[in-house]
Amino acid sequence: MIKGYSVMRLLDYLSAAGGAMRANPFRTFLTMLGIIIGVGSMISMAAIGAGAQAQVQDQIRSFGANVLMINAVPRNRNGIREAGNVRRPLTSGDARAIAELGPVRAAAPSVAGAAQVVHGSLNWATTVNGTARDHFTIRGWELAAGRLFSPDDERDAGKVVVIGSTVAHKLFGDGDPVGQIVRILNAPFEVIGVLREKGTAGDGQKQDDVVFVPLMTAMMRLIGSANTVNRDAVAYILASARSETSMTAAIMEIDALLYQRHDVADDDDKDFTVTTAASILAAQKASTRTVSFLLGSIAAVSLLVGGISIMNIMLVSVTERTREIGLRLAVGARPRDVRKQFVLEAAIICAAGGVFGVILGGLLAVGVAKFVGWRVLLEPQTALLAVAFASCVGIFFGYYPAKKAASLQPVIALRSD
Amino acid sequence: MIAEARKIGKSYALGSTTVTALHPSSFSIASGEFIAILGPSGSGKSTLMNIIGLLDRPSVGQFRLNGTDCADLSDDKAAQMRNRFIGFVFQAYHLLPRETVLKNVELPLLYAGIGGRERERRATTALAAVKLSHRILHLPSQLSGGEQQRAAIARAIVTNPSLILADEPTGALDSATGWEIMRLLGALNRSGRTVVLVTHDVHIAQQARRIVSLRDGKIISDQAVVPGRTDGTDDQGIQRHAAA
Repeated sequence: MIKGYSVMRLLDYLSAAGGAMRANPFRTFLTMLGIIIGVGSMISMAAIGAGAQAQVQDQIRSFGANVLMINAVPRNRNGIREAGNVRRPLTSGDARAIAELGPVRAAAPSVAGAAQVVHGSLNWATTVNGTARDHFTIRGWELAAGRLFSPDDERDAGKVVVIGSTVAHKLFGDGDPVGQIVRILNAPFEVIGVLREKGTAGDGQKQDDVVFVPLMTAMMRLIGSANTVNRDAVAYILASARSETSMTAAIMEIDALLYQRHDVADDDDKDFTVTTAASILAAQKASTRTVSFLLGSIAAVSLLVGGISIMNIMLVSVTERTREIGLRLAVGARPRDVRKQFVLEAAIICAAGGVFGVILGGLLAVGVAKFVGWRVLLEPQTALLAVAFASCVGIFFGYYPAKKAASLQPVIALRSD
Repeated sequence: MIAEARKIGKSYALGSTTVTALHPSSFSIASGEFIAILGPSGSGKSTLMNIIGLLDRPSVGQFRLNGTDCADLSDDKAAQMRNRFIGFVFQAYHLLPRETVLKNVELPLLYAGIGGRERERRATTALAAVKLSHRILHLPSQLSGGEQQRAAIARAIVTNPSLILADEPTGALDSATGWEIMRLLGALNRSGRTVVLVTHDVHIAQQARRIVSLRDGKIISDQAVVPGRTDGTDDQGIQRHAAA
């Protein structure tokens, strides 16, 4: 027996399989189409899913794991939604009361507005945020230079400002802003601190493009109250729980406290919301779940249809190439060699379809990112997995035609015309 | 004996009737012979060749190739024996249209599990032997009929088999080219290979040294060809072999 008879190299199979594909490229492409669409949907699904996941993680990171945000919302009364001016807006009094709660470490009321900030001949349109110094503690935001508001600044509505790194760069370039004077709405403010760069938040908001002034300063000199009726209204309150485990307790106690302070009768009457990283996560998941499900269904159906069309075309190919099979058997191919050749051919068609599918899915994901604005993330291992999966589809659906080819009798195969 | 047939026959069930393609026949082929199996179409000569070539199995009788009883041969084992002992030459050449001449000739070596470089070397040698060295990278469709058949012969000899089976090798060629192919087969025989030629053409058959004539599925004569004679139908000077 010739040594190594059973060893037919994979490369030789590949060249035999590749030749058949080159013979009819258009038909091969049509055969691949189902696989291309299937893998394309799979890839875009994975990219959107991974993007959403990354976005949520970013958002949680920038929001802070133990952070709670309390916003005022118009309340429903007897099924009628009240006007934007809520009857009892959130106030700095609410913030102080929340800060007193056991599971809560700190709470900071905030108002925000847009304003032009001017230094010398340079000016920059940015967000002015009026808040308490606890705001920075809650968000874990550190100073790059200078200091935060002193209790005197907060009490006396001092004309001091802590600026974000983007604003520092735009107005001062590489110079040191601390101690300099900037003008906000024509009022002079002393820059007392520059914040460390925090990067872009998950929702695309540039967090460093902001300036902070004491809450009193913002309400009295710059923005005013968040509510035209109540002069003590703030836009939102930021709070943090003592630990991750005290989050639930913190939410419950804040709810109870504000129900009492705002005369809320029942849940329908609620005029505020408490947002946490977990609730952002839930909302994000819900919005991407629908799309993922849709794309997943398309992927499953396309791969099934693609597999069936592979099987179909392979059966045609076996019939067309009966003489070739007969010849191969005559010169010494064992039935299993023929079977391997056809299975491999189906696998290669599907793998190639998988590669095109990855490209299509990648383009689709980029399109979604550009036109829908979702974050997408295409991981290389996902692409590899998709191509491998497509190949498995080829092996599964190519097996029956290959078995048919291998079971041909050489004498009959050679006789066919 | 390279091949030994004892009362082999072949019949097919065709609907409710049984068609006998070959009545039980016995013969043997010695190593180094040049045999022509002669007969009109439907005489059973292709059936006989397919059995000799292990492409088909007899319904009855015993057939031994190179000492191996082929009755219980598995498909894999039969493929292996075809690969090692037999080189096929067909009327329709059966070259793979999308592969170069070189790749076509390499094909039997591929199934013998021989590596790429060695395959190429042996195929090149086989192609030189049939004087096709200048055509190795062409596609079969770029070759003339005679050249295609020479390529097929190169494929048949590339594994250095002891038996060459040629089924109407000149059937698709004009007579001049046909003679050229016959001379090539004769040369292969002289170099020590056993050649079995299947043909319906008496003149072609007379190029062999022994003629087995078939008609209606029966061996009607088995004679040696006297060198120099061109008319093989004459009884004079012809040795008779035992016919079944």
